[in-house]
Amino acid sequence: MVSFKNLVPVTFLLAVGVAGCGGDRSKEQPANIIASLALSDHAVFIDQANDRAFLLDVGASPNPSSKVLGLPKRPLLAQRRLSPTVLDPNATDPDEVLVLSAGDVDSSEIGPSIAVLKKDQVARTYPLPAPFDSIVQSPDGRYVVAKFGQDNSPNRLLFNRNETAIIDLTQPPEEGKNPVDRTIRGFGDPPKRILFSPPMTINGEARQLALVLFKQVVAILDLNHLDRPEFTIELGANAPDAPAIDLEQVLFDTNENKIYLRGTASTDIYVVQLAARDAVVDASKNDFVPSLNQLGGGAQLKDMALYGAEADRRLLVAAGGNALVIDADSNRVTTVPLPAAATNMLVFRGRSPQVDTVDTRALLYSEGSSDVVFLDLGQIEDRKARNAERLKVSPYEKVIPLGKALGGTDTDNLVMLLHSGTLGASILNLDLRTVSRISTQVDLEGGLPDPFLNRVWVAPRSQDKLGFVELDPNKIQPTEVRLDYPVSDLLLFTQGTQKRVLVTHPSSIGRATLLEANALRDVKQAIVLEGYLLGE
Amino acid sequence: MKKLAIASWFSVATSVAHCASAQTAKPAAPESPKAEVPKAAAPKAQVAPTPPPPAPVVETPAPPGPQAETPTPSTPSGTTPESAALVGSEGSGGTPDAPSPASDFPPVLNPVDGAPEARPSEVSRPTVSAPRVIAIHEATPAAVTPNDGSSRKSRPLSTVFNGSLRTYFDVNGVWNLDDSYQLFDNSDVNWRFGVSAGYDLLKFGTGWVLSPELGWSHEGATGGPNSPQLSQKEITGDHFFSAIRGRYSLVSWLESFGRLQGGLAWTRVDLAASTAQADNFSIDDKAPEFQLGAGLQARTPDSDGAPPGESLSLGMMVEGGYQLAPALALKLERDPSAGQRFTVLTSDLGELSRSGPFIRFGAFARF
Repeated sequence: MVSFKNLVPVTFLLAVGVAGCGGDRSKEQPANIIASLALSDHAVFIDQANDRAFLLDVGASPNPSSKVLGLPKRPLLAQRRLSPTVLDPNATDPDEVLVLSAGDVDSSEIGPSIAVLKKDQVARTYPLPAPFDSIVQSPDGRYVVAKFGQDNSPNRLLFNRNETAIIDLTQPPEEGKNPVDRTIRGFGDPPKRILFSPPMTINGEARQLALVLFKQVVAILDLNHLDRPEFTIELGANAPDAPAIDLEQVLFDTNENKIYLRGTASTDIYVVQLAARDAVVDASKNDFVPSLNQLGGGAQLKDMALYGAEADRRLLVAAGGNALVIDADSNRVTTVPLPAAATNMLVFRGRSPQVDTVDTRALLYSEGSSDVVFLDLGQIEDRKARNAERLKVSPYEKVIPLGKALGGTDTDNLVMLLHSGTLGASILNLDLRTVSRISTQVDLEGGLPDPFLNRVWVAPRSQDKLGFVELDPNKIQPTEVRLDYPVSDLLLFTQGTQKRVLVTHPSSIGRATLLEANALRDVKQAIVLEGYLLGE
Repeated sequence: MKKLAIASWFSVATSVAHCASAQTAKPAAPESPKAEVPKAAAPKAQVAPTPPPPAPVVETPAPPGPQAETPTPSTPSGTTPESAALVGSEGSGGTPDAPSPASDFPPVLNPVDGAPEARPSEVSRPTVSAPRVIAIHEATPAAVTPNDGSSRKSRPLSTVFNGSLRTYFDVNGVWNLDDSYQLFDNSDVNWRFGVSAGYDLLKFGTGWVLSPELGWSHEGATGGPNSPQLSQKEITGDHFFSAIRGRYSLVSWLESFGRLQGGLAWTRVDLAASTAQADNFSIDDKAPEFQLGAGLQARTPDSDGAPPGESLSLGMMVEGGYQLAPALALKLERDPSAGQRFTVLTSDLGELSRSGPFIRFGAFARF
């Protein structure tokens, strides 16, 4: 029989044993937020120092206590996954964030990866074959390519700068198939840029292409058949004394299956025609073939855009003091002298003050200039300079497309001309060709266009004010509200039913002001959320 | 551990100083003659000293368990042990108390089960002759067998308000089993330094002693590894408690005990971030708290000549157990900053569990 008094020492020893458990813990690092992103109703903050993400609910019931999700080791960058609604308005936004992580270079088990975050979990993690430091998404958010940046020098003894990993984000990770590890052939230079085509129907199959731009070379990958080799097209001689091209811009003609390429150092435009292969005998080879054409621009080419219907396809090129109109079928070039030199262009459909019919027109401009030129593209090859109109404005540093040009539907064609320093901005109505000047006391650099509310939000860093400009052509009305703390960052949540904006403030524990976008000056509806970087 | 050792030595030193002063104020107790135990006695017996003639010889009944046996040749007829005891108590006064091993109490006159009742007529009967040695009684085996349930039931509480005072200085480490405590400390253990006093209120015939206690302890920790974005992470707490301690002597210098403690924990948390003046938060919480534990304590023996339990005794104790308390909600709250116009919602840092196993080391002084 065990008596109680005998149990006393046993109880004591057990208690001491239990108490002896535990010990020192690994030390948490101060948060290092490398990215602040907006999902539909959550703000996402990526903490590089502690391999985690804070997700702050800014929806119907805002809660300052954020949800913490662990991330793969050493996150390098994060991007919101692009939405397929850009190409298909009926598509569903996956509402995800992509996080590229470098992993542990000394561990074979903790390698580099791309994690896909939803607002409540890490949905998928795609392991990568190399410690890439940059990613590029296709415009519809289906594909993402991980690659080495131009200035990258990873902490590796050996690495292949032409190596890439291509991920189909609509499919789960699968070893060897998703992602696909590809080394893009070049001719000595590392890849400069990677671009994606819109869906193109080639040989009866709708597919997307990825174009890898080198200085003198372009590589074409069929994203539907990543098991097939890429085409590598040399546009210029690789000799040291050969003229440079330095590829910069690509346009896709999905009707003609043509690709237009422009280089900063070349006076020519390169046209790649994709045609069906006559007979495909080997499934491992491509079922189409590219052919190369060259259009002589005759001058330094700065920008280009496609316009016109299928049968009347034209290429408009800004070439300094001239605009070039190139017939895509006949390659006939029409030179249109411009009243002011232009280096950029924006093609739009709209009216003009003289003609109240909707037609294709273009705004040509040069950042740093005090002129803009309107070009009516209808019958341009006949009327030439008579279709050009010059408009004098205040010197501007940047042009931000707004309204329809940005994707809005029920709005006018507007652009914002940002003037230098504290000179404010001007709203340029492309249909009326009028300018409304907005004065400001702050530098408006970083104005954030909002296509859903047809506004431009302005939240200058280190200032304690948030404002917006309503883009109603009849009433360009600025509105602003004073905040309790200076601004760090601005995130918009105006896509859903709860239209809100979140302004973050400098604070190591996390501080942000959440405001109703449609009742900005109603102080009672605004709240300050504090401590969300302290975790759950 | 260094801090703990210093605190323990300080506690002991404080106890010694306090108790020494208390002892000088007491009258000196007569020195007790040491009893000799006849080898033939079984079970363990304590022997009352044989007084010199012609004084009547008195046997003081021993505390429950050990019984006195005197090798006496004869017992005068008509003299019962009880009557002799009473006579002895009125005698020359030189009869010392038998030492009571492992007890703070002076020996008490417990009626022994099975012993004959004293009759008033016999009490008043005068002593017969001298010198004689009288065996007061020889307890029956049934009366001394501790496993006898019937006899145990009949044992009453023997002492009320007759105990000694014990002052404890202790270090109490409570283990925090969740990660929240890492906000304040590098380890899992929160250490409290406390002082308490207990009074031996009840003694049972089984040897158990019950002591109520009152005490206070203080805890403080700062700068854990969690949430390094906070420049100040400090928790302080004051614990006001009462407790009941049941003590049982294993040997003369070693006791086991069980202890139930209940009280109020007053906890304050101060958090601050270095980035802005507005990032100062505080939490003030008062909540009940309970501890159930058991342990061992060792003490120095009673002084020679002092009544048992009445001399200064120093000891060390160690205790383990479990603390039960409601979790502390780490809700950040701060005063509105100057010019603040918007409603502020601060995040909830979760809860800090206040329940967990504990260990307590201490020193005590009994006087």
